[in-house]
Amino acid sequence: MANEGLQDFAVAFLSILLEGAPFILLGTLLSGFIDVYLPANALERILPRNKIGAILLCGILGLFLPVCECAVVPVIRRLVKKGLPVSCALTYMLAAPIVNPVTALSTWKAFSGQEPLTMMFARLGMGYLVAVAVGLVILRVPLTALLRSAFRKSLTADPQHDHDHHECCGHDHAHQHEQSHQHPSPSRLTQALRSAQRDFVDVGVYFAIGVTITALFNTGIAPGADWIDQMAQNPAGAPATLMVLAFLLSLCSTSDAFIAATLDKFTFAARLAFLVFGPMMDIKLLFLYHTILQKRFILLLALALFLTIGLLSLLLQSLLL
Amino acid sequence: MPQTITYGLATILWGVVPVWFYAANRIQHYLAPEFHTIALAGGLGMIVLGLFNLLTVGESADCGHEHADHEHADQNPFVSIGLMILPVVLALLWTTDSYSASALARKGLNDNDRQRAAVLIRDLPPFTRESLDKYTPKTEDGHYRFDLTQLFWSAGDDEIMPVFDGLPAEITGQLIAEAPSLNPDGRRMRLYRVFMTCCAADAQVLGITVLFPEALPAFPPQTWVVLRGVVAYETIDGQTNVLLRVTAPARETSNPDGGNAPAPWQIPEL
Repeated sequence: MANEGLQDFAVAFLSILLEGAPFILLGTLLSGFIDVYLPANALERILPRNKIGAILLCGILGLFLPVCECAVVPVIRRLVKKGLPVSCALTYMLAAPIVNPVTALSTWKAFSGQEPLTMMFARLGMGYLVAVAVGLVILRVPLTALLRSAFRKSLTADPQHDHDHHECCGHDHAHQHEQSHQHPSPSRLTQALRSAQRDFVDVGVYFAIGVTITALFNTGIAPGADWIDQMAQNPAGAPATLMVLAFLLSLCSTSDAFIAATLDKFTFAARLAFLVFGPMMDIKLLFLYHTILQKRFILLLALALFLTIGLLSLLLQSLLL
Repeated sequence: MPQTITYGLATILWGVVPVWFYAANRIQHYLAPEFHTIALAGGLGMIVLGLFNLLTVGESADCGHEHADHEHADQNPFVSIGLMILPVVLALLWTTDSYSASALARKGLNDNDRQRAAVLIRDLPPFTRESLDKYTPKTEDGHYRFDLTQLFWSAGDDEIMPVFDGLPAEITGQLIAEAPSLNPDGRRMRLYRVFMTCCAADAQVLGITVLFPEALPAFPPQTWVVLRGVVAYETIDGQTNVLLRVTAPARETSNPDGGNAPAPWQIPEL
């Protein structure tokens, strides 16, 4: 890259980092406190025993536990460890960045003068439906096909300890703790904040990689602007184009509506697809999802979301407008 | 224990960046105003989190490693820290707090697409010289203090253009060389403003052409200036654009809004 390229990359990179990092911190703090204070399997007890009912409920959990897509990954990592079924967790992961009051408000505000209520309800409704549909499909998928082996192994450890085995100490930490060491016992607050920090770094690594790639695209994406404009009125091409754009731009779900509102050359369906697909799948999320999910599953999920959201957007447009 | 220390230091470094940028007033170049406080709070939170864990590191196990869950035992923590820290350090070394001219061009500096404005202003009441005088401040010698956005959006609007055309105006913005293809007589430059929705990555650049009577001013690129001139319009390739005919020497200034410029889709008061 020439000096100008480095300069532009740096500005884009730092701006996305400064915007997203506080939300990752929020998510990881939440995750840390869930780790320590939420009793194991508590969610399993709260949610309906019926698996489908549980998934339907998890689709609206974001209304009460609102997090954006950067923050949701560390939260669900912890919730799964606390016994939340994976199908429910992924439903919450996909729905929460969209089905939450902050996103609803920003969408309504951004589309002022452009049928804001229609867009807001269409976005939240489709986000919910797609997330629940994914959750229902995942019910039938074995965990070995979904989760990374390292994450899966951590689930099999004693949930009260969240410990794996340590060869370096020559013993199993999951058992007989007190006999093995005379450690000063950290307070629960210390445990929570230490857990939060570990999650922060785990997620931060992937976020940094994602932001790096996003910044590279962001500062070089405009040369394709003419092509994007040409696709604006193409009935099928417009939603696909804006979903690709959402993937590349990796905007935050709490504010992406302000970008979508300026894309007024595009059809309703295209902008709706942009607003639903982006919070569920973008470059930075690829890396965040990879802290939990297998690459193959992420690829299939991306493809399924792309086709489903594109088709639903076109269908909704034909029904509403 | 070493992992807690390295993770703590990495967390603190990430936290220092927003706090430093906020304190040095550099954050305005990266984030829209509503995100400044969030970034500061996040940065302080990261510093507190990192410090807390460093200060309580003695409470952990003393066999040389972390005792909590080891889901990432397959990752080398030092490689992880490098991946997290290296791009931040490089970006801090490379940044000049502003985009280059080519990036500004990519983000719309020379575009004059105003279809969005047409959507927004279609429901406004009729626009007349009286309404302009009522809401637009003037300088002591009668120049209208327009926002650059006002002029930008006015071009191509059949109701607003006749009112603005020929008015003496004072505009503030950043000055940069005009694209050679748009500058046949060599007396043109571009006055622009950068607007962010959330952060610099989604920035849009709005620019208008300014025509100087003689030689171009010798400011460094992207200098903030106040220009006085007469509002005019010209049509190039079927697209009507605003043109400010400069009548007084350009005056250097600082960012008048301290980074709090309105979003580009907001219609200024007319």
